[in-house]
Amino acid sequence: MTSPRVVVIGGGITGAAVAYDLAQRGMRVTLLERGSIGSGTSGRTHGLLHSGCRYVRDPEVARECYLENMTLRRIAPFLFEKNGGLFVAVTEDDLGYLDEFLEGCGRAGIPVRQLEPREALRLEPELNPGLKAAVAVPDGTFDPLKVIYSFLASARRYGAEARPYSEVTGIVVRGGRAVAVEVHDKVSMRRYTLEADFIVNAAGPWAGRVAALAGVEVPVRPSPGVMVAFEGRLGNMVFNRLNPPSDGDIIIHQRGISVAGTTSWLVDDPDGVEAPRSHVELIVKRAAEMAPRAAELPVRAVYVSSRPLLGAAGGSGRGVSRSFEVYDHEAEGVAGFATVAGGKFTTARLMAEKLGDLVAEKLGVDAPSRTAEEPLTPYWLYF
Amino acid sequence: MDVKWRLIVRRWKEGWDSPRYQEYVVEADPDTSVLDALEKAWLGDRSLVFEHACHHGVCGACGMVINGVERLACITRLGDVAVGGTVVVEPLRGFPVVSDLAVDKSRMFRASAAVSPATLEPARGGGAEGLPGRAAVRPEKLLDCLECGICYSACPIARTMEEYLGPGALALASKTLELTGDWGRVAAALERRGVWSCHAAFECSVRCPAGFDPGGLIMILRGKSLRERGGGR
Amino acid sequence: MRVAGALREWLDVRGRSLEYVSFAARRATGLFLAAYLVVHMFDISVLLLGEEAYNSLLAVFHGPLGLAFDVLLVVALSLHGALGACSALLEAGLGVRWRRQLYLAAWLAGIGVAAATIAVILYAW
Repeated sequence: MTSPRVVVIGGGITGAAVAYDLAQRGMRVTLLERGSIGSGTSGRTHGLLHSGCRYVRDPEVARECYLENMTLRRIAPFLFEKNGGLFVAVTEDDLGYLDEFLEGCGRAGIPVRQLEPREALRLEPELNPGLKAAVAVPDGTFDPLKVIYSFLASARRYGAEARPYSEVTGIVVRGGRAVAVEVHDKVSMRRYTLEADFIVNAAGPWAGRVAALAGVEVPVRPSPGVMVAFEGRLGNMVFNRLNPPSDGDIIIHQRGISVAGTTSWLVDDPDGVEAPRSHVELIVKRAAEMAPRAAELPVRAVYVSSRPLLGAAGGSGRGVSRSFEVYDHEAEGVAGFATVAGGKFTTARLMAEKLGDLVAEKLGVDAPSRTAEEPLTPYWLYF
Repeated sequence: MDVKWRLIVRRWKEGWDSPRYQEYVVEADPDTSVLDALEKAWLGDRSLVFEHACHHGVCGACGMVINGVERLACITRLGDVAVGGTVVVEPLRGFPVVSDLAVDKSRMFRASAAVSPATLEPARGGGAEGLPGRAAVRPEKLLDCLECGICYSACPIARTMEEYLGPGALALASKTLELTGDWGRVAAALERRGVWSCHAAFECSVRCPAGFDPGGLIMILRGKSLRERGGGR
Repeated sequence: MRVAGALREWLDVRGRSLEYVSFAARRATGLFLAAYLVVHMFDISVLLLGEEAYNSLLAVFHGPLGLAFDVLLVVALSLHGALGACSALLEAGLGVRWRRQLYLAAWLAGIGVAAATIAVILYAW
């Protein structure tokens, strides 16, 4: 009996992790991405390996993040700058959050350590000399494209195939089951149909659009945010503002640069979103509050990335739950089709594992996920 | 203030006998990156194929030849490179073209694989005993090389000698030796297809968007090989 | 021929840096010098054809054509020597941090020596 054929739609970190999880369980996986690998949301992340501490108001989400952080460090230490991070209080208001923050980290079981401001400044001299409190947390940073390619390299070792420049333009549903995808190959400009035993929608902020191709809905709203990258590395530990999630509350460093972000609003179409100038100014201003020299560094790039947020309604989009979800569309009359959406880069492996459990169950594949145990294949082996 | 720019993009699809140059008119302010301008063009022509990911010059995906010079499109501003309001965008040289501006960089990554590169090096900054999340007392950073392939496009040898490992892989080998002292790991770099086929054009170092100085690193590895291994491995 | 194709690529200096132009100059002058050597070995073997033939050849060398080639030869030798010396240092891993300055110095030296030598030749001519 040949192993089941699964098509994964979306070539970002979620799709790549799904391809790895399913291929490792013995399924034949073809991943289809409309652009180049990582050309969507996850390729543009500022590269934070989350400690989870930003989300201590939801201890479950925070702990989940922390555990995945530790897993990624274990399976692919070569991909991460494992320098930890600091949550810094700059104002009296910030200080007011300190106790809640420490308590939240405790409840989530995330090891943190409060430092004397003097010690924090010794470690990171670019920090605001007037900082009032600092807490060290287990953050890290990474180059997103190399992580995505490492997941794909691991998937490839188990026989998975990734096709970039392949846009899914239709999902064929027959007798209440998704049986094939219609593909437009932008390299040859040919169109073809690819049959599958199961189809996974991992298209991030475009997940709603893809789901609609099969006639179902998923409550994913694209939520763009602006990031500003500077020429110059401001430090080694990630700089987080010690306050509840807000705009411009982070500066992360990777290689020779630092990236500050972010803001948040809602749109309908994640393509063609431009960065409002006011957002750029706000981010630079907030960054300078944590690290004064940020205001003097030349700007390397300003860009927009759309997070796939679950839940809808209007407003700014912040405060909407950032956990993820797996949707089994059989419940909506389309069997053989599932969507994995929401989440963040740090938890993609876990998202893929949960999605993989569903697909394995549906296809009668008796194999558990081992992606948390096996070392990740280095990205250069993908090619 | 939005200005009109002419983007002249080299197009090629599987099956075409030869490439064509297609013009797009894009409205943007001069600070807009060439990549963002390409995306604007793509909004109107979804057949346009180009590679991109991080949009802030750290992943290396968007290397292209822009008005004749190798650059990362995401950190190249229209206003800085346009000539008479025109920007010619072509794919990197030295790699097979997949379609339009996207090339197949397998050759470069396979060359990297041949030298088993290190990925992290010590970073400057304070040590940190007992801090949660610090893998080591000394901070670390990813090597500056983005593996964008711009150096391969710039290199006259990479473009004309198929087996040449290329500036990127050889520079990584040089760094890896410096970091690990493991000559065995980088042995491939000291074969004929390695550092000895470099002709010191240094265009790689001039064009490298990360300041990695591949040419310099190749010469440093050569020097070490001469001094410590008699020119061998 | 593959070699011809490679040469065309190597010598394409459009939009290239000082370092690249130096590389192209080394190759171009190197080829010229190599070709010159080969041609020169053939032409002086005219000696085998007797005194009269050899003397008419020398007359050509003393004429304007000979002067032109002498100038080309001097330029090629100076540049090839200066740029070659500079490159030899760098290619052994020395002075890598001062690459740009070394190349500038090499060009100045090469052009300087060529100019001085040409001045002497013209004066003697």
